[in-house]
Amino acid sequence: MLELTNNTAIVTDVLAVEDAEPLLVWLQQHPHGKVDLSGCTHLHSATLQVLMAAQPTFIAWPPAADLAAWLQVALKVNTNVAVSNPF
Amino acid sequence: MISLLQQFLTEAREILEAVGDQLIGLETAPHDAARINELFRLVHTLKGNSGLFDFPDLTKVLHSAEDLMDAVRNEQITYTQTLADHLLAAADFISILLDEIQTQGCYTAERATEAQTLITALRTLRHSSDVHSETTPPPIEIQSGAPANSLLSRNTPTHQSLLKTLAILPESERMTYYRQLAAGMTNCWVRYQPEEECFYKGEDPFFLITQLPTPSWRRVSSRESWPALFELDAYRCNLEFELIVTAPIDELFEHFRYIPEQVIIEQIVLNDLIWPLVGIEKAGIALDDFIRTAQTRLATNDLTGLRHAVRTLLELTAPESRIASALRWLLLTTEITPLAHTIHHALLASIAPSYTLSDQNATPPAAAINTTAALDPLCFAVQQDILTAARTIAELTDTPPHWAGRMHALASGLAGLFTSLDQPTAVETLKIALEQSLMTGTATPMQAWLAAQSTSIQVLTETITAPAPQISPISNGTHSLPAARNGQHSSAVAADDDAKFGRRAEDNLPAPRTLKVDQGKVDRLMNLIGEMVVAKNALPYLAGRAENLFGVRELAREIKAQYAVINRIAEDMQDAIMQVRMMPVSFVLQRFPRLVRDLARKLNKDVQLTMEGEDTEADKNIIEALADPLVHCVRNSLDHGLETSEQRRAVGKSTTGHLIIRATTVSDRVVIEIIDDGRGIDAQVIRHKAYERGLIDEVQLERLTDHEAINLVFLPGFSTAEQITDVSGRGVGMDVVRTAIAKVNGHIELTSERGKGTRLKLSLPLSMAVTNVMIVRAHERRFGIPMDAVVETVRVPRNSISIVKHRQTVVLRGRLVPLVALNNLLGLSEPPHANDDDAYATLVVRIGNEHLGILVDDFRETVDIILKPLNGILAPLKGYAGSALLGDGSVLLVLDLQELVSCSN
Amino acid sequence: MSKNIFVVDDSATMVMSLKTSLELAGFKVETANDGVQALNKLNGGFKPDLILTDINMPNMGGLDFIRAARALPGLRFIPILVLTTESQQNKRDEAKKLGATGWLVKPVSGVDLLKVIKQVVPGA
Repeated sequence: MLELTNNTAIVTDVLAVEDAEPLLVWLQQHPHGKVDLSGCTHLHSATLQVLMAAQPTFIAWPPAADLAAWLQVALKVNTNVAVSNPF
Repeated sequence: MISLLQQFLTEAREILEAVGDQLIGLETAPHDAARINELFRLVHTLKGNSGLFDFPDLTKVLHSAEDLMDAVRNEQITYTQTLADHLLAAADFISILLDEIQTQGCYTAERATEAQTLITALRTLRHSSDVHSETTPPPIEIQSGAPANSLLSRNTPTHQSLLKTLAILPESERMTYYRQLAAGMTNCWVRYQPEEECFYKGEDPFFLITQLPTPSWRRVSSRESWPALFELDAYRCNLEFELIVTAPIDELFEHFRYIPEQVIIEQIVLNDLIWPLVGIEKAGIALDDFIRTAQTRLATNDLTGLRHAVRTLLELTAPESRIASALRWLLLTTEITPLAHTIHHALLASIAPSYTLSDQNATPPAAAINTTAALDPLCFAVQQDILTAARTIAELTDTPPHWAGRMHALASGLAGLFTSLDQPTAVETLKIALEQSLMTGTATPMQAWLAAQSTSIQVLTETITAPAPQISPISNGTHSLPAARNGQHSSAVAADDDAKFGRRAEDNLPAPRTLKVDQGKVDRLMNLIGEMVVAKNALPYLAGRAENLFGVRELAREIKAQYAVINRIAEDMQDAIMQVRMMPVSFVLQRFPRLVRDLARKLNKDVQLTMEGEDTEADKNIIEALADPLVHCVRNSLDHGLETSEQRRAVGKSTTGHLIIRATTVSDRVVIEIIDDGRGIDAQVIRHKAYERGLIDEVQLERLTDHEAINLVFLPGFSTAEQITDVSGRGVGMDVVRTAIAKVNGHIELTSERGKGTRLKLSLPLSMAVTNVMIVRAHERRFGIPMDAVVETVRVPRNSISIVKHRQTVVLRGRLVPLVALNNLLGLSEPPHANDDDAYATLVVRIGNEHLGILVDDFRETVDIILKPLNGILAPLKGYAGSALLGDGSVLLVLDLQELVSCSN
Repeated sequence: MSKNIFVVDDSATMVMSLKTSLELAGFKVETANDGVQALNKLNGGFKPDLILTDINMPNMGGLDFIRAARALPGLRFIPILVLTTESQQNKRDEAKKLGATGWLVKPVSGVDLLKVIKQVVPGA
């Protein structure tokens, strides 16, 4: 679910494919908007690429370690440089 | 709740009926593509369903039939009469299996042999006629050049991609992977580039990716650089995922099985991890001595000595230099993989000053090194282990979805082994074996290849002691299929579809509101309503008792009022349940096209069957009771009624005989007519036959009208067939048909015109669930007499009874009606009681086409009862239609007058 | 929240088998006997989380149904799995081209069914 406020996009449970369009529009209109993924359990690829292209600031990552690891790899780094995890 | 098996059996029967219909339909239109497609669909569905259960023979027969129909559908073979015969035979066989499964839960073991016979027959049909059109499998092309996507050649673009990715990793990480691989872990590299349109196929690449085991390394990037946010199309996928994960390669193929063209999966091998050696070049160290020492120690397999020399040199070397890196790798590889001589040699060579940077850019510095592949016992043992494991894998008989992946993995493992043994020929033949295996879908070519290698492995181990000319890197498997990205899922297509299907929104077809209910449930409802009727009928008795015994008239009236309400509801309910039990006549008629076809072929007659009013409905029991008599009548028509084409032509009729089965509803009865335009019945022949058999006397012989004479065929033991045929058989005559029809209160009537044809008319009640009976008294006993048979009730004064032909008779409405006392029929000695006016209560009933007056002591009320047939030790009793429970809880015996009268005669 | 699964198959036996497995696994199941009936339900506003459809059906087969369903605005991104037999490789490819997400091979075991659903429906 996607909740869009004046300065924060709050994601709970699954960020669905249909949310990609409103999220994109919101990010276009709020270049300094922040994203809160603390309640997120999964986000659809379409929304993932919107976030990757927009590079917003993230205030919280999902609690699930594996999902957080993926998202941090995808979103924290803005270039195509590889990030490796310590073993 | 009905079980899945029950559902399967019910549907299977429906499908079989439909299959029969289609096959019959194809008789007249053998090229009807719609029918052929439908037939295929039906068989396909049934086969699919049968797979849910463990009925292998059932499934196999259906599979063969499906293959055959598939070939017909694709016009590889033509639909013929013979083909139809075999399919019908298969349908019959399946029907038998279903019956056995229904009754015993499984079919008898002998059916397997029959199934095999059928399968062979179906297969023969499938293959005999398609010689000309069968698409022969394309010849296996053996490409000696560089195969486009060979898994076994190492220098593939995808492998280069893997190496490029690995080159990014720091040495320490690569060394960790090296340790893992040496310890037997499988690490694979995956690159997943989802196609642009993938979201429109319900795919979520990121979701697919997150379901993999946690990768040890990962990267998410864009395939093309991101456009400005205002130009971004969120629904055009631009993602690319890359990861290294510890998982078997075939599991990864399985994971990505829906999109194999969008992923590259490579298993990482030891050699992939070492190169390139990264670090600054640093000259000035005397390496020649070290190289010489190291090579000697390596040649003598003195790894401890070698490692000592390496450590010494390492201390003198700047850690960030390329040579230091090579030395660290040498330490690691000699420790962890002491047998990987080729790697040790290659590393040593990379330290040599002649080794230049440009060489090591992408490929390992293999070619330059001259070494000896010493074959030590451990190495040999490992090879044997690999071969044994390979044989086990090749002999697995299951076919999982990832079977192809398994074959790839097997081949890549073997290729690695034989490359390391420097057996390029073996590797070449392995490629061919793999291709053949993949093409044929069997592991046999791989097994054969393995067998060939096993016999030569001993020779191989001996020849291998010769110096190997070069290091062949351990091969790995590249299994990527050419990435075919199809962007044809364009919006134009979608728009077109929109136009086509958009209007479906308006013409919302009502879904068929049919509910399939198990028969047992309806029967239970029926029994319950029966009990309800009985319980309800107790209320008037109660009212009577309230008034007469307890003298509370008011209460009695209230009970009666309440009874009226309950009575109405019960009647409505009864009616509703009866409606549920109604089923169309087509239930029994649908078998006739097949029956008529088969019989006509057997008798060599040309018959066209027309059926009318198949949707006429009647109670389930009535419909079921109709089935056998109808079959008998139709058989008679075909056997005795309709002539052969020659006979018809001789008398100037059309060569095709016509048979009509027509169902109609006439007031509360359903009427079935079986009409043929055959030779008709010769009344004179019937008269004489009946006379010869002593069924009629001379007077009757003279007096019987043609119509009456023809109906003599219903007398027991009458058979008109001049010869016994295997169609109508003998012994079972029309009397059996009449009896069966009479059992459900039906009548049968035969009319025929010589030379023109015969018409048989069966008339049955629409429902038999509730019987309306009149209660009569005879010798202090109560009996029920079905109202169907009752014509009228009259009081016959004793003095109007006269004796005609030794029988008591009375003239009623100008008609002579014979009389018989019920006491007499029942074998009671008491004479019937006359009332105070000296008149007898007389029930005029119809038996066959005759009227008969039955003298009883008194009439009582008529009641609706649920008639239950006599069972247990009472079952063989003649003369009773059954029993019923009355409202006061007593049992009423209901008489079967027809039987009773014929018994007493 | 339990996910809605739409089973489209003309065989009552197949429907019953799938429905039973799915309901046992906690899914809500809606069914239709052919493409036309299925489209009617979808046009009526029913929005499943996953569609399982047979290929060979009367009135409207699975391939035409997929094409039509994908053209409906609410169904562009819904996962659709086709139920095929092992011999129907070409149908699978065709279905993929028309917008199917994947396929299941009949007879479908309950375990396979749930495994695949878990793989294509987030949160299932």
